[in-house]
Amino acid sequence: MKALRRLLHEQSGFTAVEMIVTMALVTVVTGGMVSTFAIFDRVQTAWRDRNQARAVSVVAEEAIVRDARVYRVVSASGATLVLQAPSDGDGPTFTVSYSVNQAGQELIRTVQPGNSQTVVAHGVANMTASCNTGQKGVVHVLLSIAAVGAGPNDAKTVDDVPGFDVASRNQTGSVCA
Amino acid sequence: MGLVEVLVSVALLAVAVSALLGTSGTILVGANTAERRTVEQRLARNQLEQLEAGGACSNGSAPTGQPIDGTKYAISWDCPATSNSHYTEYRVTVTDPSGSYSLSAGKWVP
Repeated sequence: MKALRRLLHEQSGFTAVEMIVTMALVTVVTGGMVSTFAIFDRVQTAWRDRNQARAVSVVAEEAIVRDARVYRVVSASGATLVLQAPSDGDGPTFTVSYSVNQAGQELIRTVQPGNSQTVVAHGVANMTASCNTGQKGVVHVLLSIAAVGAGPNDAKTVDDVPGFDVASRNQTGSVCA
Repeated sequence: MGLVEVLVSVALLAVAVSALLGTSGTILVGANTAERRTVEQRLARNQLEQLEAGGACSNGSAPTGQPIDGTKYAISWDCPATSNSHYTEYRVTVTDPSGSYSLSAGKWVP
């Protein structure tokens, strides 16, 4: 019994002051780390969404630019961009329109007549086409991308700002001329 | 182990964490700069499209528009002399507080 008492008496440990000081300091250091990593997480999420938006936009831009270089702009208002092949005078012409299938989040290219539809890009939530107010003959297109995010509850729409301009080479009869 | 040892170890931990976070901060700054260069490239391309759609080239600048992700970009352009009178070259420079980006394009004018 005596030996046990002596053992208990000789046990050393932290004092309450030491523990309080230690815990306070560790809390401060850990708090700084956690808040910094939270900032990193937000920034990384924003970059991921923007990168996704740019990647989708590049795919969509390629098709739109290819058509806009050749055809004249019939309509560039809101969610639809309509281009028309110039007629050579003795044959029918056709139109190429770009619109968004919001249910499937796809950018659709439709050729009329014939209603031939192809998917130009996936993950497009919206498109806004307009004539550039600063320069005639230029169409401005802004795509809103459905960013996938980290999960079903993380999905959101990201605008690919500032959008892209494309100069329509054929100005005859163009609404943007 | 006494209070002095605890203080010393926490101080060492803080130094190590500070170095780690400092490195991460550098990564953030670098990535932000890369993001700005990307936006500048897009703005420069858009301006080139507008210049090419226009007529004769003349030096100019665009009014600073709405900020993009909190950054305002200044756009200016000039027309470097070319050896061919039918060839017009456009050079667009987009500038923000962290740097600038230039793109050039040319157009054959019959």
